[in-house]
Amino acid sequence: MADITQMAARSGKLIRSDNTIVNEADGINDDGSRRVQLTGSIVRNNVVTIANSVAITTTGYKTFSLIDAGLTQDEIRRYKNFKISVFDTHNQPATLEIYTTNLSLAPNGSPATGALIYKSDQDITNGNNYLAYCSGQGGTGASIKVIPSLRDIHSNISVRLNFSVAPTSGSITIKVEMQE
Amino acid sequence: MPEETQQAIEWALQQEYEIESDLVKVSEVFEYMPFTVVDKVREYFNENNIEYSTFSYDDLIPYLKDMGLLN
Repeated sequence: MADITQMAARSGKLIRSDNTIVNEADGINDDGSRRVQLTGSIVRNNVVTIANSVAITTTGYKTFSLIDAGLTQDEIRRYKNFKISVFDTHNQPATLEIYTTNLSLAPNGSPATGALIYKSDQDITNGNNYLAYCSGQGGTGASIKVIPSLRDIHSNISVRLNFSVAPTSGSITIKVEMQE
Repeated sequence: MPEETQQAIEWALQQEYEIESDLVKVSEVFEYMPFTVVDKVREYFNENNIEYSTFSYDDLIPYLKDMGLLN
């Protein structure tokens, strides 16, 4: 077995490609462990329920938005990617629209004011409807709709339903997943 | 909410709900699948001719807390 007392000490000094001299040993703690510095940033996620199993009983427009769910415009603007999941069991079809807020028109972030980014009169049919609206990646299934502008900055996002016949059973749940 | 809401919830929790061909007991899943109890409460209102307007799971939470079913 090698006797460490008979071994020569190795210099910790190294020369970088820009000719500066650094001492490798400076990165070693007193107990011999390596000094490590982590770099990077924390990517935050959030899930917000904007319609918590709402049993709709009337015709006309019904709007659900991130601001109505309690978020502020500043909080929403932190996120750059959104996915909207819908589960609907109403017994009547509805038109579904998704809006981002046009701040020039509605500085307070009023939902369903400004830019319509998606509209369908075929998504919400009679019966169970599983739907997801995302920005693109992985959006291949029939129940997954791709909306590129969901990967963007928003001050509010709202989902507006319009039933032409009042549902007599069922409900709708809408959740928004957000990533910084 | 109608005054019969608590009875409606009690009935709803005893029911089974069909999800993708599987029957699940509402009392066992309502906390993470709130639509199950909402849809069954609505069914109770309909079957008993009880008038109601648009409501959500949020409206049922105080009743569920009073019944000791939620913290």
